[in-house]
Amino acid sequence: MACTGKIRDVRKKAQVDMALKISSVLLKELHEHIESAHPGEGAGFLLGEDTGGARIVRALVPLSNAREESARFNRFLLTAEDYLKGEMAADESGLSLLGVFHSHPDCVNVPSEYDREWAMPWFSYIISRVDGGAPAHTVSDLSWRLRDDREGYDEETLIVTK
Amino acid sequence: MARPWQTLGESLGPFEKRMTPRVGWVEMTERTIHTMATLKIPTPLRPYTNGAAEVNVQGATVADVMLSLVGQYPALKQHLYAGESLRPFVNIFIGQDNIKDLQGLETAVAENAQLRLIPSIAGGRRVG
Repeated sequence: MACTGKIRDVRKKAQVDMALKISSVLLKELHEHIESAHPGEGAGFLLGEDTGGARIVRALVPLSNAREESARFNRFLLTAEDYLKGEMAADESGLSLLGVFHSHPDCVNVPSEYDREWAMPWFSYIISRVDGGAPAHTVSDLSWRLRDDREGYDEETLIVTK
Repeated sequence: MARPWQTLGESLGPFEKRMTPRVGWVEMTERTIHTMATLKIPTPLRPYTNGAAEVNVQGATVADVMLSLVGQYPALKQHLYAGESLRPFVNIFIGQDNIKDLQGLETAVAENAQLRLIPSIAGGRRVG
């Protein structure tokens, strides 16, 4: 399936001052989840701390894509019940629900128009490109935040720690 | 200071329309509201409620309650509404029940009801 279409207005990280930190261990866990979902989209929640400076991811809540199988190659859905799981996991661990991760199978990991229409403000959105092959593998991770006017995204610096 | 009998017209300013299943968008009238309820706010919307996880709202129906919410916190409106319709990711629960399984926005709100705003999360790659 072609991966074309309009890219929304995005500001690259050099223009903004936001960062999201994630450990290499958690990033590996994230990759394993989204690679296992390929050629469908994989998704889940990011839990962590927002210290007012950089956000720090402390845990993941990997979830199943609730979209019907025929649509999973280019769409993901986390239901209201999934959202409550994320909030409850955050509350139980004393963390905050920081955002969402999802994959773009065989496609650039820049927010799509559909991403924008469904995006929540404030959340960090890690979008990863996962390419097919034997096995499927993650090519790139980028993190984004919806702008307050909902017209576009700002890229935040994704810092991978040990 | 809000009065128990305060009307939507007084409390909501210019955003004074609501949906009804019978006649579509109608101008709000001087309808008297008695019902007070609480509404739990999801994490990503709390920056728009001054950090509050739960807010007091008023309204006889869920539609009225949502107008009460954006009347108090106008910056929320663009994230909850596209034009005058709720965005597709907005789910509203009364207790354990999704209003989509009840009467939608026309669902009646009981005194001291506990409502919860819960987003669905969706997205996906570009397609040609």
